[in-house]
Amino acid sequence: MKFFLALLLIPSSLWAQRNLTQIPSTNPNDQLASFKVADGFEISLFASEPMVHKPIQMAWDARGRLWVASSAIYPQIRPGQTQNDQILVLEDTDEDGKADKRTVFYEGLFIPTGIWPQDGGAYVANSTELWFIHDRDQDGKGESHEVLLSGFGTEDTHHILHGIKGGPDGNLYFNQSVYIHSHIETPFGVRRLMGSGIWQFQPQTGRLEVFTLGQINPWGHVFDNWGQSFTTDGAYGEGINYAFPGATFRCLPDQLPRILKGMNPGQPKQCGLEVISGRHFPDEWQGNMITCDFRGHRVNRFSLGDEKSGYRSQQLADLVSSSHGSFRPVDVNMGPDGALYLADWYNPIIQHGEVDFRDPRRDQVHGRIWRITAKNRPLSPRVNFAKLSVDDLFKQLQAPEQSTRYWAKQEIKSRKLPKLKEAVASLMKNDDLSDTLRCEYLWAAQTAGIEDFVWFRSQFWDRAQAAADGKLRAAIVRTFHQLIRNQGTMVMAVDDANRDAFFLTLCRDPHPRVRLEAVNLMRTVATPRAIEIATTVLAQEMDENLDFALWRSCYEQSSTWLPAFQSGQISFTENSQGLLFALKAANQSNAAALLLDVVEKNQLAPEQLAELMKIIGSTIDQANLNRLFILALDAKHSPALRAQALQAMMTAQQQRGLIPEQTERLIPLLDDSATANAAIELAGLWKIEAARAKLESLASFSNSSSDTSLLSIARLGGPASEAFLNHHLKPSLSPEKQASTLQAMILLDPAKAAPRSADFLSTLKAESPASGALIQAFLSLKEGPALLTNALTGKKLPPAIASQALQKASASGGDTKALIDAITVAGGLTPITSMTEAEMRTWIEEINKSGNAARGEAIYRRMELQCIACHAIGPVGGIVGPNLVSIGSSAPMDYIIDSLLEPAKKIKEGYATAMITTKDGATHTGFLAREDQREVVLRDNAGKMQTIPAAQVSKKEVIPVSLMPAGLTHSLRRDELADLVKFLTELGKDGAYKVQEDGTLRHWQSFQNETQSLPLTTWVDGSIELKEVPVIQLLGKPKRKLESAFELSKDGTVTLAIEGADNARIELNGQELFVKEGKISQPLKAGRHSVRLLIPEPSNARPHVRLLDATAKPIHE
Amino acid sequence: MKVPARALRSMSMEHPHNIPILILHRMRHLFALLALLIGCQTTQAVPVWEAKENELVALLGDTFWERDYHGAAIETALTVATAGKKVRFRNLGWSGDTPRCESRSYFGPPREGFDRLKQQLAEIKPTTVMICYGAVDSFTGEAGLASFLQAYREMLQMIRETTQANIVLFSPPPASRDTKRWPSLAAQSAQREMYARAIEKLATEEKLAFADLHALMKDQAWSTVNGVTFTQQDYKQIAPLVVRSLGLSIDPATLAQPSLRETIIAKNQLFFQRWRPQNEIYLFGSRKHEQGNNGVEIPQFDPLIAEKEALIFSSFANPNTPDQ
Repeated sequence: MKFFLALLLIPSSLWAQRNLTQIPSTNPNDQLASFKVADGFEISLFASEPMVHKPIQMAWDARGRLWVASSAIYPQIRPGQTQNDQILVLEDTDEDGKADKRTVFYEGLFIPTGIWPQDGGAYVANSTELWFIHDRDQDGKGESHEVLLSGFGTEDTHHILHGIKGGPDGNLYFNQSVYIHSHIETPFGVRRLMGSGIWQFQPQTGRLEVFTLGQINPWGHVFDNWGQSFTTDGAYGEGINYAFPGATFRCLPDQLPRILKGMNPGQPKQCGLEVISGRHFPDEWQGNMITCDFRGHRVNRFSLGDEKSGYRSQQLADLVSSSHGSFRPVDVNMGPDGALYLADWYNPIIQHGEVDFRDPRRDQVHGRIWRITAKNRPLSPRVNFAKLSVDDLFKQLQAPEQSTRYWAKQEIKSRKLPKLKEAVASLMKNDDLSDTLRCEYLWAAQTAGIEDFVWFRSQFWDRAQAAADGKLRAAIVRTFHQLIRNQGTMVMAVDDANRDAFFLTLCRDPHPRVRLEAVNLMRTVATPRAIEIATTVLAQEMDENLDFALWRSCYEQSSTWLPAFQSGQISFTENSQGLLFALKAANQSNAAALLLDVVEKNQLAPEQLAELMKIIGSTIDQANLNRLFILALDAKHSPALRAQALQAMMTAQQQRGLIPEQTERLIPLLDDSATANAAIELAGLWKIEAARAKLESLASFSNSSSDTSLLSIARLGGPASEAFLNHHLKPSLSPEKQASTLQAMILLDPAKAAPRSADFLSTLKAESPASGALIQAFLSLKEGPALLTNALTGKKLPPAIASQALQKASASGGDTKALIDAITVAGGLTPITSMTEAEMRTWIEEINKSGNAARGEAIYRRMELQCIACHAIGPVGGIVGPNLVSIGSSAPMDYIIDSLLEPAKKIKEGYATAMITTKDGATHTGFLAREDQREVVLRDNAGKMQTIPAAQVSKKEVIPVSLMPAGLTHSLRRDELADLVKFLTELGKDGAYKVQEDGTLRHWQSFQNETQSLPLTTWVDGSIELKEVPVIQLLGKPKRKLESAFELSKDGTVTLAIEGADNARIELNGQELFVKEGKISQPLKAGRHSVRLLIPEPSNARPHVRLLDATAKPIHE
Repeated sequence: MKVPARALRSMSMEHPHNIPILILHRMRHLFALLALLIGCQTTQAVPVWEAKENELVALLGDTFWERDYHGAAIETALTVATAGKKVRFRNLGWSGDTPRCESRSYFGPPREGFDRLKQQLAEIKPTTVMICYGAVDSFTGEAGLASFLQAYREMLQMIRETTQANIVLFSPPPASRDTKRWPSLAAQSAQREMYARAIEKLATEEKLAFADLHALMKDQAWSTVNGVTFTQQDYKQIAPLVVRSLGLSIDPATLAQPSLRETIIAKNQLFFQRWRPQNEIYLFGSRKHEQGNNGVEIPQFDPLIAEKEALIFSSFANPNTPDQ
């Protein structure tokens, strides 16, 4: 006993060091030895401690000096600790590839997370503020600072203001992550950003605006040669994002109800980003994006291509990977010599959510800068901008190195040339200029602060009309956007008709990216006519970016254009699809009358009307509800439209309790097959007593297993309903029918229904959706868990039912402790336990010694554990829980064990459970998927969406409950759990369990019979275990059948590598192809194509199918 | 003589029908001018506010107060002006804030920030609250004035219910008048004036002290950072005006004492980490189940703040201002 107590009393700080033996060597040479670098490149050390420590962001200045923001205070200042973080300047004065001079530029900072040296000093992100630190004598030491902007939130120190980048347009850009709430006074009024996004800041005018919204932790941000933005994210794992003005990615539910996706779903978390440019790198690397997987100790490479208004991004082989556990590449920059530099934050511990602020394993002293060069290629020439003439500065705008072009524009700005416009105009007279050079001249003028719209239009737009490519025109429209935003449309110096004609031209441009920029501009102009003009882009091909941009315009400006449409100021003449699009996107609660007008006028196609009806249901008021009822009763309308009208009335009742007058007029519709389903439900919701007899007869003779007429009878209420349901519930009914009768009884009187439900559950043989729905019916009632707890006392539940009930109860978020105990007892299950610290320590040793990752993966894939149903590993798998692609390289083993045993102990950001209490006292829990003025959408642990009308919500809280049910691992033996943990700790580490986006088809349909299939995910290595695929009879022979698909972005020959499928028949789009040297090749058109494997039984095959072309991409859904 | 004349012109435009107020303003400016002309810095007929012994002053407002925590020019001037009385200051300024506490909420609606402020005031127990709002709302012009005043009244009521404090209302600082440099501020001068007078009227109605900082600042040319916020150099010149707006006085020479200002800045940093700690979400918010154990560190700033304050008071321990 004494020994036991002594173990418990070990201080937690000591305990936290249990893995200290695994902390890697801090010698830079050992780290260097661990690097694997792409062929043709080498890596060397540029700087390490004591020259640099804990670099967070780095940036090269015009003079070729490397500026580093570093913090030893992160993650949290200790009481009494001085705010003494630093900005460092490193120089390689003898140009030998190693830093030889270090200057402390400024001290006294408080976790600086952003640095950008420019304008004779440096912009620094310092906690709640953006500073400018002056270096008037240019000696590399700052003299004083001024707070430029303040009010940035600090709710989480790895989310605070960070990542300052200068854009080719002369603006500065910086990021804040999802927990941050910022409030900044500017000369244009206060600007607030509640959640994540990227800011755009124009220092000379003080203009600060939100550039993009969302991303959980927007981190890297670069610009291509056309000024288009690309970003990475340190939390959500969708690779490279194409970020245009107003683009919105995953964010807080109330930031915006609709979002865009990144271009490489299933990627690990990525931070700093750079685009390769310049003479030192080989041609095939130009324009590639390089980013850092700080968890997996890797530096990733992506290649981008145009795709409609946006881009596609393809991962290529890593530039660098390392097995060194402290290698944390966080930033990546092209240097003034054309080499690529990596900031290595160097830490065995990352993050401070899961791992204690004061964990002694945190490294606060080391830090490295690595330099990557191409073998046998000359370095890029360094440029001394300050000494160049104006003519030579303009010549530098042709340099292949993006940074050279950037600093040339900045130097031109700093010269404050009185005749800059004339100089640019004279250069533009040359008709042979490339589009990229025109773009540079455009930005040189913009960077220098020229705001003359008419001049820009005549010099750039009018001349660009002849340009073959739309990319230059897109860049010009972006510049127009800024000029019009800053000064209003009067800067265009044209009358209203010509202004609108010009906007129409932009929206009708042949290039989709120009149209995208135009729609974004129209959103800023924001007049009703501008929104109407924006919808004209629908006349040409749309894509996700355009659709989003147009939706956001119509959604945000609905209070402007809707009234204008109502008053006839705008009419969407000959643009009915524009009208429908705008109406669907409208965010107005009083739009129903207007929409009804549109429906009654019958201007729209049936499928358009159906969509309108949905909006009507959630926005309609009492007066218009009567109008809608008349429409539903009127036989002159189509049965489909009338059914949709009934559905809309159901929504109106459920969301706002609205019921029309003279409800008994509904009764005839109960007999009409087109309207019966909705009418049955409405008869209950509206409590039409006169419909009782009809409902009872429907219920008695129904063949349907889930019968809404039973629920409607329950809703009518009273002794008559009770008598009917009692009489109806018979053991001779199918389990599904019994369950639905019981659900109706719960609706009527849950106390009476509870014992009967418990009896019913105890007789079941296996769990089913019906038993799940019955359990859920109790959980969603306030008093439900207590009633079921009582009813289960003394009862026995089959283990399968108990396990199902346990999962639902533990994920419900309400007070279900007593119920969980009751289920555990009734089902005879092992109670939940956690581990003492001593047990944990023994465990870790045991897992390290005997855990087997290969066996662990097999356990991970067991159906009853449900891991695979909720978690993806890489691009495929469930989305309910976090993607586990790099869990092993990011989370310590104790964290993984804790999360398996007690899911609620550590909850990943963005996966907290929301509990909504509705006005009727019911509770709903799940992941908060989306929220707007109309509704709240929760995603439950089965991935199912549940929509709750905003009007019904009485309380919304975030609760410390995980959607991952506790006890999932209780069926495992000790050695099995060890294997599972071992597998998870290997995920993302360099080795067999690192998911590569290498064209492998990872998402398959596994056929259960001739026609029906279930989804099947490959193993982490990309192969398929045939034991998981049922043998079925095909043309009388036992076979296995698998199908997958891929998308081809342009016409061409596709090659697939086929391994481990020797005796299989392989079909491409239904046509058999023969494997030659492990490959099949076929010329194909752009679009979707299917691959089928037919494998005769018996077979030892373990198939692995991989696309070998960058233009083909696996379809993972 | 030019200064008050210009003030009167703008005044008569703002309040064309309100003659009594106009006269009051005229009088007030004449008094201020007289005081200036005769170099009278130590006596003022009716001080707007007088510090009591052991006073604890909360500075409540927006960016204007918040930015002073760095250079502490205003706080140092007020410390000197109240020397010997052991007056302590708590800078509760928050960038972009309004009387609705729009900047003070985290994940909830502004009301959450309002409630948090209430709780903080209950814990801090200030004996005086000096409020300076209006710079943010003035961008909404006349249309937003009624809602601003309603929110302001609600805030005043909350402060009275929560504390026993004296309340002083400050008029907001002016925006830059250099509208060539900052064209978006063309309407701001008039709007700030409108809000300043509305706050003055509010103070009269609520029987609260009113410090007309706006009137003292508006005719000077300020460098400003961006037309609406002030440089640290500006703050050095604003500080004596804040003192004067309260009807107090200081000997400018005492402000040259760098060690005092540095101690105050150090105290302000500690207090900032105390009341607006980083990682709020882990320490006290929705992820406190992960790092809430480290929340115990936050009150550990209190003794450190007290140490700095003892140092501040000791710098006045001389025969003229006996340390009590």
